[in-house]
Amino acid sequence: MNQRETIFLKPLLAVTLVCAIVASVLEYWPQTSSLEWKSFDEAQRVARALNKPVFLDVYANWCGPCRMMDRTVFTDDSVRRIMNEKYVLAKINIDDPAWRERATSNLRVNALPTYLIFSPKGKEWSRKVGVDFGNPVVSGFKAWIADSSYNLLRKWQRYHEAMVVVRSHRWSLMVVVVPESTDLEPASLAFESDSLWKFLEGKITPTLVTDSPADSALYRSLPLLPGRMPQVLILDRNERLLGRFYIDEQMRSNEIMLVDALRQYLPKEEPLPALGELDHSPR
Amino acid sequence: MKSPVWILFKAEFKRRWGLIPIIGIFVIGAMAAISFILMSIIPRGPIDIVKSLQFLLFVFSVPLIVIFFGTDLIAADIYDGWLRSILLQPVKRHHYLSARLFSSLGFTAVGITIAVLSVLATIPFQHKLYAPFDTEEFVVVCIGALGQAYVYLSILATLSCWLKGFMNVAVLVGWWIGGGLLYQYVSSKYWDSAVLTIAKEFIFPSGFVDAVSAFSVDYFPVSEFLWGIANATGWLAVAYWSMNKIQIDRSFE
Repeated sequence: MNQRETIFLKPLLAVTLVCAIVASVLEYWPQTSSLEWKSFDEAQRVARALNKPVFLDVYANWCGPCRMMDRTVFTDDSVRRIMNEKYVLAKINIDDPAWRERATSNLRVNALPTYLIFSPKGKEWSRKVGVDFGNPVVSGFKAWIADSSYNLLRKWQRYHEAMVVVRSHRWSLMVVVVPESTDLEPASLAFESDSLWKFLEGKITPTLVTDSPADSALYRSLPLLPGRMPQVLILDRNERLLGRFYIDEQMRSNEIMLVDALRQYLPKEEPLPALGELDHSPR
Repeated sequence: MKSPVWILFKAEFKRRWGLIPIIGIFVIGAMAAISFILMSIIPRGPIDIVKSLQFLLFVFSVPLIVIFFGTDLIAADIYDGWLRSILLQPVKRHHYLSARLFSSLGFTAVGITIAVLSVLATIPFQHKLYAPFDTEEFVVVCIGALGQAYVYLSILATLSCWLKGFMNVAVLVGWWIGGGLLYQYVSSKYWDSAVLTIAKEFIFPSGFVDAVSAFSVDYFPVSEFLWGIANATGWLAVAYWSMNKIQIDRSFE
């Protein structure tokens, strides 16, 4: 009546144990990466010297999604090529006590993995939390790191929208012209400084124009300087040219030069009219 | 000579197959099809049929089918004397349990097939934009769904050796919901704790679910599948052990 048999329990438990051990080893074994990761501090130094943005990976060895990214995304040849060419790469292990506080407070990391892109000057451009890059994840991630839409210049208003603002406020329009084939990042470096925007506040509205198919007609109609170097045009509210200059290497690293160039072309502020000059006639 | 498991398996199939399971399976299939139609109403780009099936099977169809065939899986046979009459024959307890589990898995496989076919049958009538059908992913989703159903059935069989009636399902559902909530809490509150992050993966056996999710994000999930197999064999071992503990005169040793 009992008909009990326990002989098969041992093989079943053995299979369970073997599968669990192999799965754990596969999941948590440290992996080597062919990418050149640096410490965040070192990466920032190198980024400044090379004028390249920083890609930062905040991870932990026990974080499953981080390991999934290491296994699948960071081993992809095309991803590795873009990352090595375009960025200075840095990693922060959240378990490292020296970095933990800095990551959670300064970088506001509150989930793993977190990926951040910083400008060469250290300004945060973009961040992604988790591995939700779409499907397939490699293509989604590649599109994110290859895309420059996080770039400061791309966040500016479109030309015609900016012109509406210029007309309503009687400001000037600063048109930054960058050919489509040229990397936006070096040009955008010149416009990162907060003091520059303090100076421009209430005077100017910026816009970006490229020779992309969407902008090509506008691009051709602008009174551009010769050549395909990134340049700035200052237009008044009637779209008349007030001044133009190239964004050169020095301007990218020294914001004072850019401010001086802009000051030269911006219309002088008109003094307030005296009280007696105001028109008091009844309407 | 035919194996006792095979004879019992056929007997189980005949005994349990009737109008109610057929209606149940078709109702669950129809519910999956209606859910798919409702999911397709919201415009969000081309509809990925395999991803939709993955969601419907793992969140909806497999749990419902398993509840349908796994309620009172063993306890019913203990209390109505069927197990006693079976064990009076030259049949071992693990033969009975294997036949019971595999017949339930067979019903579940039929249920999953009907649910998948019901969903696919709606496609010609919906004039929507569909993403390319990934056959490889579809196969992995179906295997994963069957694997996870097997894990659920093993757990339900284990619980049913100790608990009467629908209590095995109640405990499993409570564990599933409670485990999910605990997982979310740990993920958000203790995201930086190594111990809790690893421990939270063991709250609920979900190796096959993780494997299918991982496959859908572009890599072959060897470790996740191994966890799934470990879940399945581990719970089968516990079910066999529990089966050996049953006292046929309606008490436990």
